[in-house]
Amino acid sequence: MPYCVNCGVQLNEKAKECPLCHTEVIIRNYKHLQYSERSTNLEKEMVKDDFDRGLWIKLMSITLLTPATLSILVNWIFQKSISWSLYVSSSVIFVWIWAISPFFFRKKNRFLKWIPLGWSSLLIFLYFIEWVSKFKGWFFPIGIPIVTSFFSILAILTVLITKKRIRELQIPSSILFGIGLFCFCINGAINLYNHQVFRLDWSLIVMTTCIAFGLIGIVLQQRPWIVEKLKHWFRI
Amino acid sequence: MNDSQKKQKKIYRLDNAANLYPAIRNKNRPGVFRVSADLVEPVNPDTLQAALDITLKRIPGFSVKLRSGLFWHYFQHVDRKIMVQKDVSNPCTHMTEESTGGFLIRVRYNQNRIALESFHSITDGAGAMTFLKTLIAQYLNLSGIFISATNGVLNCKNSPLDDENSDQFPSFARKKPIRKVEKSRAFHVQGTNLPSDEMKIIKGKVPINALKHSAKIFNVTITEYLASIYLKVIHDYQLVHSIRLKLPIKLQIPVNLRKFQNTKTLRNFSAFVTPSIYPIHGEYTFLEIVELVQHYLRYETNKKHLQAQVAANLKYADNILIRLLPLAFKNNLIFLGYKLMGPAYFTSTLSNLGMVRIPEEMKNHVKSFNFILGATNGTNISCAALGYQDDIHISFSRVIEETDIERRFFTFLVEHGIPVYVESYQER
Repeated sequence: MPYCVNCGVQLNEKAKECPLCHTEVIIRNYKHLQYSERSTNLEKEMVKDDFDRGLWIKLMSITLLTPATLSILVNWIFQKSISWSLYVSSSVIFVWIWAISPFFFRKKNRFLKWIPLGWSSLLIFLYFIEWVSKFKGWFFPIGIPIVTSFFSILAILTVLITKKRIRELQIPSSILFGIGLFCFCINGAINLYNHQVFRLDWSLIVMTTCIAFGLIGIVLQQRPWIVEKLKHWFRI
Repeated sequence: MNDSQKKQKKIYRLDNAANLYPAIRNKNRPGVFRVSADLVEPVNPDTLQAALDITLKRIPGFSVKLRSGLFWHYFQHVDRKIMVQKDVSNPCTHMTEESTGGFLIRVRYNQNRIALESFHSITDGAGAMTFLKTLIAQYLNLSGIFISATNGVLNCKNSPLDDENSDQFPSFARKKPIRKVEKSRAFHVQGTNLPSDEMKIIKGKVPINALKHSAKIFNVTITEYLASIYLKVIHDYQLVHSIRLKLPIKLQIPVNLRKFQNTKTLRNFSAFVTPSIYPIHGEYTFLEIVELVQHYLRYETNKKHLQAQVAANLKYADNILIRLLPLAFKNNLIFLGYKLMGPAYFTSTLSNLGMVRIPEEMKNHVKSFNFILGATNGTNISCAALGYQDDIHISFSRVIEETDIERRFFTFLVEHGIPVYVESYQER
């Protein structure tokens, strides 16, 4: 019977390595290979999530379809036209897409895959709103830059977190930097639209605050015992 | 007994310990444990199915489904067959309608092995072992080997006893509950999390005489000795992995209350003791830990003390406001309580079922027994042990990749002159 040279424990005759330290078993007596009790031929049982995706889609569809249909009906019955109900029904369709679409993607990197769809659906929704409303001309100078910058920052953060490029306290710090950057974009886009000049004012205050708090997180990350204590406090 | 009485009998109230699990269970916290036996001969699934059908008629408390009432969950006896299943590489997974047909037990087989997996609301380790022994006895009986109904094997020709399905907690509890507030959170072993439906298991086999001899040097029982080693290895791990933050290391050890009350109940009937060490006061030697554990366990494992502890647990369930709270709110309340005061306050669980005794005729047909606890993301690692014939079988189940604790535990035994045979449940 083989022994692990590292741990000193006896191992199964068929063991290729020690289960405790993963040291490879080199010398094996092939003559005495016996029937093993190990569960070598067992398949893995797939456990489904408690979350019922089908039920969620049905529930959301019914819940959102009802106000959309009702608003169109009320609008048509009382005003013989479809005017304000377009806002309600387009919002409902937009919410429906956002609520349902994540479940069309595979679980792995689901959120990252959803981002282009979320971005495009929001842009279509805003373009539609501009099209039906009286106030025109805001979609291209304000709508597109703000939505695109938001989703770009979101995508970068998602990649950094899922690829484990940032961890623990670096995550809230990066989110704070992201918020600061997004405020830059909002501020710049609005000033460009209103005053035809790219200028940053209030967003500088937000960015300074975000950088200050973000740096605290990055500095604290260098102290593992603080990270450990925070994890225990917040039961992470 | 008329029909209406029969129908009434088919609904059971959950015992106090059982109420926790339906509220907290999910894919990451299945609340499932497993007892298994390796037979000498390969298992015939058809005979096992027939044996299971007979056993479930004798122990109907296991053939139930969990239902939600307005105020409480309850068990409903269902006469449908529970089908035996082929064993899998990831045992103790979440019991869903799809995987178990809504039942709360699974009987699995593979080659020579028969395993029972049970949701913890149904029974505890001792109850599950009685079921497994009865099932194996029936299996052997159907295979033409007569097994007498002794040493915990129930006679399937007899009718079920009311006592076997009774909730013993209320009759055991004292009127005055113990007032014990756990103030400090416990240290937890950290590591790389495995996927949520995976749990890795490492099993160790230790000769009972060598372990007894070693425990005798310190004048302690085997449970006390194992608990001391477990605390020591987690303490050593903490010294390396948690340099500044010295949280207490607390082991949760279930105590079988059947030893203190004459009952044949197969439902949950256990309490917990929590031996702890406080590394903030300094580094502990093994001798210090052994002394602490020995005194702690002997002080806490006292009938009156346990009665007061059970009374404290029952106090909340008996509170009229909690009783009147609808189930949905109650579930959230229990879940919140569990998140705040559950695994955060203990490091790991060590459950020792003790020596498994079976009828003499069965001994030639059963090679070994095993006991596996389901580890959760809260504690990351659990340890279960039982003795059978000349060996103690120790199983570590974990939901992290790293094997530091198991390696330290088994090498500790080896360094103290106790031979250990180790194997992984999963093929790597």
